[in-house]
Amino acid sequence: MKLEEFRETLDAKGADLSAWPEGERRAAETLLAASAEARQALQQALALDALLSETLAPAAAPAGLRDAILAEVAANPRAADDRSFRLGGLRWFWRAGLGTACAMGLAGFLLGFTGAIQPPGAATDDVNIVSLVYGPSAGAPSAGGSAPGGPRP
Amino acid sequence: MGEGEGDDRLVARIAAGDRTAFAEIMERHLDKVFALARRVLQSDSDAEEIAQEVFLTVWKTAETWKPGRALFSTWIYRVPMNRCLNHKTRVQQRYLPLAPGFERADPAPLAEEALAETQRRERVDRAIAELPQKQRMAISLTYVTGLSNAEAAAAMEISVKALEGLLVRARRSLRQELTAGD
Repeated sequence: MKLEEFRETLDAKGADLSAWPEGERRAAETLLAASAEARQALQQALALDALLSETLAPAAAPAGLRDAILAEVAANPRAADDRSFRLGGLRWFWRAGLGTACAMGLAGFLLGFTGAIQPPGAATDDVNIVSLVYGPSAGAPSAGGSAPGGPRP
Repeated sequence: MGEGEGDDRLVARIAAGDRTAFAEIMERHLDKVFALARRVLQSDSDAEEIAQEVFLTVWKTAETWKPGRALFSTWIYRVPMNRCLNHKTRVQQRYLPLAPGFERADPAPLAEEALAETQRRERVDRAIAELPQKQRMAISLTYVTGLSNAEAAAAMEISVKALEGLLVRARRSLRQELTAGD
């Protein structure tokens, strides 16, 4: 490794030779053993690394920032939570609708089965009333097909 | 990469809605994310805004994180890098206020040595601030986060060779600036 290549690698990879690829590190160590200029370049690179590490070391973020982020998180449910919330709402709506339909169907069956209501057009009660007023034969259909409640002789 | 594995587990817990895990991962990375954004954007308020965006993104999209495809720490620093690149504010000539403990309210009581230290720090801050933005990003990723060149390159979404080119130019500029007048 030539001196210029060594300087270039120092600037590219930093002054910590242990972080260099093994081949380059060995070549650098050979150069360092032979060149005072290379040793001086390494010292300058180490000094710059130390200065930048010290200056750029992260200070603590403002105390209020943590609280602000936690408040944001509390106010913003995650997208997945949003979806599950929406799906949960739909499920609740679906179940409520199905339950209502079942309840209404059962109520209708019970009302119809017990005779509490009659279907439209049913004439059963009319026939019974005619029979009660005019006698049992009056309620039966005539052989001539006259309508119930027709003129009597 | 023990910390990386730990991050992955925490993100999985966050995906399940665990706010304790979120607080833990924020504790682990907030200072670096804030320092990185502050250094690149040269603004405390912009850095706070970016840090909030980053962690809100972690919270809202944790279930999309794919462990093993990248380091979480690489990803979490990529977000502020992208935000910084897209940020509208031009920040080339702004300088950061001094960090707490380095205020120069009244220099008289300061010992000569402390004053010299403060001035040296200001000079380094100014030299970093004057770097072109991508060089400043590369230098900040390296020294603020301690990422390797490969990880920093991944965070900037550039090749290792391109990152090292930025580092070479940045270190040469800084050396020249900091040794001028000595």
